[in-house]
Amino acid sequence: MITLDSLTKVFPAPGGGDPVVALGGIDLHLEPGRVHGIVGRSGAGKSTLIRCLTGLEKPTSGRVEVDGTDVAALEGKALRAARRNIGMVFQHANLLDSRTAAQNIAHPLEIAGVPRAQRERRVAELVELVGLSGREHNYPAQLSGGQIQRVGIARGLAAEPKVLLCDEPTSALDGTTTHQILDLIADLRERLGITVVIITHEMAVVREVCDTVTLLENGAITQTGDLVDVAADPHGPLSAELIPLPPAPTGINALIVNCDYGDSPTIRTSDDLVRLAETYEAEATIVAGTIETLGGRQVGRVQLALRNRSDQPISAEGLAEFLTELEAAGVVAKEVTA
Amino acid sequence: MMDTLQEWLQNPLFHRWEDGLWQNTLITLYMTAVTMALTVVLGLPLGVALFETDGSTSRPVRTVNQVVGFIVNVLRSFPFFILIIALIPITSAVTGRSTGPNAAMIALTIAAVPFAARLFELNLREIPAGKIEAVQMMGASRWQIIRQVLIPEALPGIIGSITTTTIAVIGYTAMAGSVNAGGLGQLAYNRGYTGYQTEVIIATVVLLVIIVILVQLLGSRLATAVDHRARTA
Ligand SMILES: Nc1ncnc2c1ncn2[C@@H]1O[C@H](COP(=O)(O)OP(=O)(O)O)[C@@H](O)[C@H]1O
Ligand SMILES: [Mg+2]
Repeated sequence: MITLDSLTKVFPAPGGGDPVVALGGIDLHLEPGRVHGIVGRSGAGKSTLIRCLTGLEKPTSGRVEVDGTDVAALEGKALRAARRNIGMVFQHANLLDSRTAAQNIAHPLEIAGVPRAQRERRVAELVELVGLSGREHNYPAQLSGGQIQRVGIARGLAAEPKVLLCDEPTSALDGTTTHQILDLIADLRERLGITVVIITHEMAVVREVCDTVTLLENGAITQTGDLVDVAADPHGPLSAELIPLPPAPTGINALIVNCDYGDSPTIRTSDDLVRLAETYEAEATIVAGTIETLGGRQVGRVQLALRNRSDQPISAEGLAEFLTELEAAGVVAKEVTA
Repeated sequence: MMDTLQEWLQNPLFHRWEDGLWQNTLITLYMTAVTMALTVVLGLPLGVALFETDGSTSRPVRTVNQVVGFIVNVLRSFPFFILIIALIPITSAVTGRSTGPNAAMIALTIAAVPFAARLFELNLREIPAGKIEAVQMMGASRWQIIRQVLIPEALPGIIGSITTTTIAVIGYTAMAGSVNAGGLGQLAYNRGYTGYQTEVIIATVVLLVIIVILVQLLGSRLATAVDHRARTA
């Protein structure tokens, strides 16, 4: 649905200094009908990427293909036509204050020249779809943040686009509202089969709705793939962020080992880990950990405290053997030294 | 005290129509109304043009913006009294006369249009760029953006700017007496100041204050009526 081919965007420096390379040759392919997350710190180039997808920003070089059209090559009328195929949802919704919720939702249809009666029918459908019934005649100032974003999503969907681009759609919302909006997006994907791209700096958003995730760092992709694979890959930069390890209690008389078992073919659950430790005459207790089930598969990162039968930390040799065994099983394990 | 007031109220200028207080009030209102109608018709497109051409990536467009911006600034810095005299050759060419309300209105409009255009430009600048981009993303043309985003979103501010300009124009009409346009300013000068009729000066001032207050009141009401943004308490 979306293909980026060595997409590069360089901004001239405002003060005449070094130009800013916002995107340094991005190659990316996003499949139709899925929810794609693009994550990265502030300044990584996420917004620039999404703006290139919409033609709001012209790439310095490279191809931007959305639904078979090279958006970067379009101008004027052709670009405006292509944009009607792309819905966009913004962090602060960017609704017009001079229009009611219903009028905002109808706006893309108005611009596309859809006749009034048809427009009204479609707006009624959308109001229902995003759960705004009863509030459609309110102005944005009379709506809550969550309701405003629902209007923003309904507006993004109004012209039945094939792709819905969301730039930080929940970053201005509280936790509960974020959850509701993400549920709505997931539900829309189910019902409409639309391709969704969500840009975010919140890992919780990725965990909750995304099928794939792409990490952008300094204008380059450092990891990309299906969420499960990325989360389970202990060597990748994203797994630690997707499955963060909470702090362990202090003052334990034991050896502490961090284990990341998402990628292991034999160690499928944390119990498997504990059992493996016992074969080394050690007692393992999980002192901290995060265990997630993604796509029906358990992906975990746990911290084990290892003691021998006499309640002392296990010997260095024992540890070395255990670590070797873990490595062979595909678990990434590391001793934690205080 | 009461006697003086009684005496003042006897002044024939307050009672006769021809070149009296009320006819001159009407002339002031007429000059203001026509000037403002022209100012909105000409100033709003100019304000939009200043806004749209600013920071353009196209070199010729930028040049046009700079030239127009320069003319606007020059006209704005002209003292009105000088402007009205400097324009006499032009007004007489257009209206056939170099004096009277019509001649004054040309000068008033030339002074008010750049003033209003800059205010309108500022009103448009207050619209968050994201709102404009959101509508561009719907595939809107430049014209659709102007009609459906810029004007409606800036409308409360635009009404405020029209109000401010109207009040400035009312002030300028007082100077229109220098081309014999009539109006309250000329009445106050000719009869009140030169003719030593204090009551005429007081009456014109009171009337002008009332007119300005009413204009401000109406403007604020209208602006509030079209403003759907959240009120910040
Ligand atoms: N219009 C612009 N002019 C100059 N530099 C820009 C512009 N837009 C973005 N940048 C720069 O490009 C980089 C990426 O910005 P952006 O895409 O907004 O990042 P993100 O959305 O991931 O926070 C930043 O260093 C930013 O300063
Ligand atoms: Mg951003």
